[in-house]
Amino acid sequence: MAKNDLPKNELQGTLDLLVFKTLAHAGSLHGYGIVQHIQRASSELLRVEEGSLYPALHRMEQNGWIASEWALTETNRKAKYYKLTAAGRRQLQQAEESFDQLVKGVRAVLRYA
Amino acid sequence: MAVFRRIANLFRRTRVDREIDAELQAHIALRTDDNLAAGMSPAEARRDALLRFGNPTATRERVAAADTSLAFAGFWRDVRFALRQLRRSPGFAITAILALALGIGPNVAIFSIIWATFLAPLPYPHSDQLVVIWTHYKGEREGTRADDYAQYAAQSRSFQRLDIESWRVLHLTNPDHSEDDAGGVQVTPGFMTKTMGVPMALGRDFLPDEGTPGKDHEAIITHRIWQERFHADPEIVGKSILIHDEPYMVVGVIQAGASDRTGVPFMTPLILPPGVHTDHFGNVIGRLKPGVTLAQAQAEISVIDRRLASQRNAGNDASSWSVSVEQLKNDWLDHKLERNLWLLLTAVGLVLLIACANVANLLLARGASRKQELAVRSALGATRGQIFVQLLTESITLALLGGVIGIAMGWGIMKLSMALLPLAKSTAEAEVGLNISVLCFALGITLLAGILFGCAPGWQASRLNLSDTLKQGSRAVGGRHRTSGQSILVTVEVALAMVLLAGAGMALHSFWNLSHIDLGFTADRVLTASLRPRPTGPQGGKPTFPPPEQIVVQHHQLLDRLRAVPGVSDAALATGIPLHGYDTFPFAVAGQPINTAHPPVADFEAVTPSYFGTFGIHLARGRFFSESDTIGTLPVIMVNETFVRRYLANTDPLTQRLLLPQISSGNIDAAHTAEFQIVGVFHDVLDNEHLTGDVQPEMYISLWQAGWPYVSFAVRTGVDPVAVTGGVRGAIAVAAPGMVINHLEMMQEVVDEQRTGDRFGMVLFGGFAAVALLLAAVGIYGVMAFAVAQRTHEIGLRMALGARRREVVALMVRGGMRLALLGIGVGLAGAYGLGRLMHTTLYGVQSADVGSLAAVATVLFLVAVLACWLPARRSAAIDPMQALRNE
Repeated sequence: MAKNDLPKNELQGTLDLLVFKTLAHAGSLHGYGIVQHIQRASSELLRVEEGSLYPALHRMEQNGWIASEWALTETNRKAKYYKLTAAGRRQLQQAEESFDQLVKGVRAVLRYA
Repeated sequence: MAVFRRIANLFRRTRVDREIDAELQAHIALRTDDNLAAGMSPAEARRDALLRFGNPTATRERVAAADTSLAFAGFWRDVRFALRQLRRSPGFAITAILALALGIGPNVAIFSIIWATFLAPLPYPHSDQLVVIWTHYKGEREGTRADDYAQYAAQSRSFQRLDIESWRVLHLTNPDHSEDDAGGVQVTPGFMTKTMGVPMALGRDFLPDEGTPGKDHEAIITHRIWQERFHADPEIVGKSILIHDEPYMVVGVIQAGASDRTGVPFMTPLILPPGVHTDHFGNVIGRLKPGVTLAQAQAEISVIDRRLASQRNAGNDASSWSVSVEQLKNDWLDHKLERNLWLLLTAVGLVLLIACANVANLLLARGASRKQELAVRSALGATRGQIFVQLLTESITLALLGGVIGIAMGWGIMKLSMALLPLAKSTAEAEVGLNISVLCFALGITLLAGILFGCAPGWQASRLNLSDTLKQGSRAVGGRHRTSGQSILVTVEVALAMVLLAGAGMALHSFWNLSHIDLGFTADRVLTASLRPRPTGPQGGKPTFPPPEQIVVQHHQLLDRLRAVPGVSDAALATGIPLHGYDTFPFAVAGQPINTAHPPVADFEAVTPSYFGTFGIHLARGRFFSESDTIGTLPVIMVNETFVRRYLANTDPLTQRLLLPQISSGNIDAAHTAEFQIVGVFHDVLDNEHLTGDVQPEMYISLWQAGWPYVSFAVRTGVDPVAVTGGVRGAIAVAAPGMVINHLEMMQEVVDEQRTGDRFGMVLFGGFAAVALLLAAVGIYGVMAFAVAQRTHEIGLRMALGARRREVVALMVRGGMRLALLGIGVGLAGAYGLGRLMHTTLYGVQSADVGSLAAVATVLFLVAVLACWLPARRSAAIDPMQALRNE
């Protein structure tokens, strides 16, 4: 399990960013909604694994970046809704900046290497 | 707060699990709804939802794991990661851990000694209740008069008990009737068990009525002396031991522990009823009643003392006296020793700082090669804080590893220094060891060190420019600003090492001075002791002595016996021996006006003519005493050079006569004066009890003309003095059966003992400075090696353009030397400060000790050159083509 730590950590940054962005856009959303939104917004390019999403949501909630409450869906099912906290909003900004840097870096490498 | 939430979650795991389950089920239900809406059959819709989701139990576990791992496993994950990183670069790990251990070890050792000596609560139950009542005269701490003690004890209400420990020292008598060195004390009954709260291992404490004259020949002995001297005799209680040649019955053996470390081997009882005058003085030690504060006790005792003062009718001097109630603590130590210990703690603190700088440097060098890893992590969403925490965890992991080895090392240093360099016979009642407090201290400095040097890579990482790093690939670009952090750290290291080396240099210089003090005599192979008349009959009566002529005859016989002992080459008798103190005896120079108010004073001793030969004292002018200077011939006197300088500066001393009170048979008759002709001037002999004091003016008369009953003896031996002690004891027993041998000791030991504390300081300071030097050298070496590695490309270019190998090496060495010289310069300023701090504990050393400063600066410089040259040499081995092709 130790061997898997590193890549998972590195991917978390990206998944976190996607979740942040989704919640920033949609306000309050349950896990299933987040999966759907990312899929739709990325024109079906990105598919979030449920197996990674829920641990990520839980971790983000524990970090105080998102808050949750149980509520009824339009289809009258009970689901856990997430929304961004103030700390989460700050975190979103940072994550966006680092991601931009990554993209710039990768692009630079792609261009010159 | 997130942390608390996670920790709370740990305790309500089932509730959390249930909630996670509900959430996951909701997800599957929502997916199933959508699938149904998309036209799947109910079974298919659910199967698809489940398939997409994967194993819900596994997911639940992972969601819950995100929880706990964040709280604790997050830290452990970082630790595991750090350990893996360390294993990947063992050279770095071992260097860093050893450097830290070298920094932490000495701190643990010195702190454990300091803790036990000054800081630990005394090892007695409720030791905060234990107090001492000091009498002060003109601000100086004095013992308290027994009469006052009796009044305090009778009138005060603040104390559960108030006891006195008399300053009158009693000595055990050896089987050959000589006196044992270790002195016992007289205490009020109950002192040990009731006030100090130390139980008896065997027998009992003194009964409340024991200690009155006629009922005071009982003793309690410490566990240690019971084992060492009485072979742990289980039947010791009830047996009789000899104290001052009188039988005392052992009634108890004190429990092993604190009392074994006080240096008081036994106690006898003493009762001081109020109103009965005695001439005892002592330490008044008491135990406060619960709830009574020091201030309340102080107020009460002050009131009682003022009342006593008015009754005592002390007159004008009354205002000079005061009493204070103070916490009982270990403050009887020599100030110099105390200062030395604190200085050593400062020194080891500096060693730790150097070690930290060293490790920080290593981390910075390593950080350069990890830049990419960190850049990738941060690009993938790790925040600066997370990276900082991870780096800090790595540092703290390193520190803890170093700390563990350091504690083991510190334990070794502590045991070794306590065994090899006994500070004093008894420094503290608390035991020096690795106790909880010392371990807490060790953990504290370890964490502090980890945070201190962990900031360096953290700071480096925070300056990381992401896109630059990713773009540049693995090639590091040279340039001074890249290594500025390391340069500063190396300069700091060298400066700190310079300060420590300067301290060691000064300690060494001081010890050299102490070892080369002109004692005025040769201490080697001289055995001395004082003789005391054996007490006969009731004490306190004025002893009577035979006429002087008879005493002289007895002394001649004694001297002949001593000379006849095999191995003895010369023997002498004298009223005093060097290094055992002096007195101030008034005299007058014949023919000069007599100053009755403030007469000139000098040390005054009577010695046999053989005294000078036995001690190897040189003659400056005139002659020594001869055997023909006897009672009835012209009274002659010898003085030392200081005497001549101070009192007979402008005259020929050999023409002068001194007027002294008449002395004979143990009496000094101040009413009659005798005239003594100065016949010789001898070279100054150190007569005070310290090696470092000034020589006093001295006057010696011949013992053959004085007939003084109390004498000491000295024998010079051709063999090891220890070998003749038996013969000497035998000679005394035959020739002077009425005398008890007191303090039989080697003169060399007396001299060495004076230097013990200084040797302790010097050896430890020197050892720590050596560690500092090593660490600084490693630091310079590391930075240079790193610089050479980083500038390979540049060096290759230089060489391709025609630079010679020697020039390249010189270039690299110059870079390192600039840092070393700057460090030495800064260190010199610090050394001056340290010199001022150390000044009072040093002998014959200025606070700016140019000689030793120059010496240690040179040593440091040479070590720095070597540490620069070794890695720089490697730069010359660079193949220019290879270096350039590396691009």
